[in-house]
Amino acid sequence: MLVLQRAAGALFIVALSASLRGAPLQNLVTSADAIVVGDVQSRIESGSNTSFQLNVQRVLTGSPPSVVPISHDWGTTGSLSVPEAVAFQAYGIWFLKHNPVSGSWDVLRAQAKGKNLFASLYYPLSPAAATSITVQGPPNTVVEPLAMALIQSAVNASGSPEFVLDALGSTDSPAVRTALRDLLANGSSRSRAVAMAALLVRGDDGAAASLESVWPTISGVAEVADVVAALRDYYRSTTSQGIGALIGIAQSAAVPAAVRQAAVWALKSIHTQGTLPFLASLLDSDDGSLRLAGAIGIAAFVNGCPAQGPSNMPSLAFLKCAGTQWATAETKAHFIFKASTPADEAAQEAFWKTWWLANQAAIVPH
Amino acid sequence: MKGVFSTVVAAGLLTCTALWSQCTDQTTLENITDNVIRTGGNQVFSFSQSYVTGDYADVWTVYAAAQITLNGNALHSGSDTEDSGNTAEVYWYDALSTTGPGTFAEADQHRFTNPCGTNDYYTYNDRSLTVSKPTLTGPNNTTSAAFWYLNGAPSIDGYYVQWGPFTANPNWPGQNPTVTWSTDTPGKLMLTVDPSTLTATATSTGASSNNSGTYDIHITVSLDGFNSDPFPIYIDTPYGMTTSIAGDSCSSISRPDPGYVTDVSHGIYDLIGYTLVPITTNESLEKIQLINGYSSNNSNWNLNIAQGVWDPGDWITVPSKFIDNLWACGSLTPTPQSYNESGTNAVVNETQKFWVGSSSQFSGTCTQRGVVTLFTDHGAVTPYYTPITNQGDCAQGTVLN
Repeated sequence: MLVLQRAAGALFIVALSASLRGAPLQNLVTSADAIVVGDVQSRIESGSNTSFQLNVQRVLTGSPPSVVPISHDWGTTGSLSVPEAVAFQAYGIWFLKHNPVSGSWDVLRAQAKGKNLFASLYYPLSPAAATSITVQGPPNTVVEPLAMALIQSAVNASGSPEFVLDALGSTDSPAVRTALRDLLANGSSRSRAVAMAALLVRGDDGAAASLESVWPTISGVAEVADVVAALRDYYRSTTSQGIGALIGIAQSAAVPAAVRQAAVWALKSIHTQGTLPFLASLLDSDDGSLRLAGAIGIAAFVNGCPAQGPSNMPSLAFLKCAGTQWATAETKAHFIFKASTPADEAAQEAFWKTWWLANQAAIVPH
Repeated sequence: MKGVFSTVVAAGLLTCTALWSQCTDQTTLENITDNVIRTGGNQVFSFSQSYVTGDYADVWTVYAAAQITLNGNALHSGSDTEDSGNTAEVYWYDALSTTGPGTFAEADQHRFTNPCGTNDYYTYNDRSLTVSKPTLTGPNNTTSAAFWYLNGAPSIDGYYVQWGPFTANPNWPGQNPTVTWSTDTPGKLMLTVDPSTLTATATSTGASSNNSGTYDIHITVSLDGFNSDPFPIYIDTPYGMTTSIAGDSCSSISRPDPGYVTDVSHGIYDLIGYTLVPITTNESLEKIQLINGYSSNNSNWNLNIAQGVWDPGDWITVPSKFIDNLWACGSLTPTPQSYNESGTNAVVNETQKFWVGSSSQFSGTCTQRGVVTLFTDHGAVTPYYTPITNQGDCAQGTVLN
C-alpha cells in the first residue's frame, strides 16, 4: 500500500473541473447545481479518483438526493495507484455538479490548498455555523450567508482557518465586514490573524488603524504571515485615515521590523499626494532601504505612475506612466522604481531630496 | 516678386554715368534665392544666393550673406561676393542628428552693384523651418512600457511577453520616409516591424538587468540617422520565491493518523520585489531516491511522486501563494510519525526546481532549486537557492542531492 503522495499532480482533470479548481466562493456558487451541508464517513481513494457517499444533511440550493454517490476524478499521477479505503469523517459545505446525461453527481473542488487532497473538495464547517445559514431567494444570494458561516466556523476552528481567507475571495459587504470584525475581536489568535488579513485585503481602514494594538494577540501564529502579506501587497487605501494608519505602523516600535517594512512598502506603492511628506522624510533615514523607498515613491508620483497592486501586477500597468504637471525630462531621467547599485541609489535619492525641497510647497500647501 | 526659392527684386533700364555707357536693359534682372528646406530625413539645407540675369549680367557685382540660427542660437554665418555674371552664394547642409531638432531661421542680405552707379541692397528674415524629432509611442499613447520575459515561454495568465503596437511618427508632413527601428539591447528584445503602418511589436528575449533601478531597454526609430528619443522599456521576470513551512496532522487533509503533513507555501516575486499574482507554475523533480539506509527491501514509501503543476486556480489568491503539500499518513514502512520538524530520520529526497510561466516541465523561468527531503515525521526543503541569477543552474540533470 502506497500512501505517500505529494499534492498538486501534473495532469489536468476535465476542463470544467480544471477551470474551477480552487475557485473562491463566488465562482463556486455560480457553477454549482446544488450546494449542501453534509458529511462523508469513508471513501475509496486512488491516484486518479476518489469515490464516496455524501450524506446530505441540509440542502442550501438545488435538488440533490439525500445520499449522493460521488465519483471524483482528480487526475493525479500520484502514488495512490492502488485504491484504498480511508475512514475519516468529513463534514462541511459541498458544491455539487450534476451531469444531466448520466444523472451522476460530482463535486467541485472548493479549496486551492491541497490540490489533490480530499480535504480540498469541501469547506469544513462547524455544526452551529451550518444551522445558521439562511438561504432566501435565488442561488446567488447564498454567497453572503455562506461567507458568514465560514467566518463563524473560523472562530473555533481546530485547524488553520486560513481557508476562509481564500474562500471569501473578493466577497465583500457590510455584513461580511461586520462578521470579520467580530472574528477579529473574538476569535482565536489564528482566526484573528485571518480576520485582520481579510479586512486589510478589503482596504478596511479601521483594521489597519487597529493593527498595532491587535498585534500582541496574533504575533505568535503562522497566519500572521498572511497579515504582513495583506498589508504589504493588498492594502492600498488612499484615504487620509488609511495613510495615517500606515504611517503609524511604519513608525511603531510595537510591531516587528517586517511589519514596519510592509507598511512602508504599501505607502511607496500607493504614492498619492498624501503619502509624499512621509516618503520625503524617509530620504533622511539612516536606513538605505527606507531612503530608496522614499525616492521610489516620490518618483512614481511625479512621473504619474498608477498605484501598484495585485490587479495591475500581470499588466505591469504601474510602470506605464503618464506624467504629471511636475514631470520633466529631468524627473524622468531620475525615475527609479527598484533597487540598483549603491552609487545609483545614492544619486537618485539625492536628486529627489533636492527636488522635494524645491517643490514641496507647491505639492503640499501649508 | 519673391517666391519660395527665388526673388526677382529689380528689373529695368538704368543709365550709365561713368565708364560704362550701359549696365542694364529690359532683360536685366536682379535675382535672390534663399530658404531653409528639409532635403532628407536627417538633412536641412539653408542657402542664400544673389545673381543677375539677362544682358549686361557680367558687368554686375553681386553679394550674398546669411546667418542661420537654430532655436535662436547662431549656427552658421557667411558671405560671398562675385562678378562677371557669377552667382554669389552661401549654403550649408546640416545633419539633424548633429544639430538636433528645432526652428532653423535665416537672415540674409543681398547687394547688387554695377559700374553705372547702382547699389541695391536687400535684407530678409522671413525664412524658417521647424523640425521635430520622429516620435515613438506605445499603446494608448503611453511613453514607457513594461512586459514580461518567461525564459522563452509564451504569454500566459495575463503575463505578456509581447507588447505593442509601438507607433512611429516621422513628424515630416507630406513625406513618406523610410523609418528604421532599432533597440539598444538586441539580446533582450526583438522587434517585428510593419513598415506599411509604421508600427512594431516587441517580444522579450531576455529580462532587464537586476542592477538597473529603472527602464534599461530602449527602442528608437530613425530617419536616416535622425533618431527619436529612446522609448524606455522594462522587461520584468519572475525572479525568486518566498518559502515557508508549516506542520499539521493528517486530519488536516482528511486522512487518518499516524503521520504528518508539511505545508510548504511558495510565493513568487519579480525583479522589482513585487509579489506575483497567480501564474501557472510547474515543478521538476529529479533524482528521487531512498536514502539513509532505506531501500525497497525495508521501505514501501513510494518514489513515483507526482510532479506538480499549479495553474492559477490552484493558487491561494489572498495572499498570493501556492502550497506544495508533503505528507505521509497511514500504515507505511517505516511508520510515519506526528509532525516534528526536528526529526532526523530521512527516508526520501529529490531535487526540486520551480518553473514559472509554463505547465511544461523545464519550461518557464526557474525561480528556485533545492532539495526536498521526506523524513518519517516531517517534510523539509533544504537547502534551497533563490533567486536564480543564472537559469543554467536549473538545467535538466543538474541535481543537488
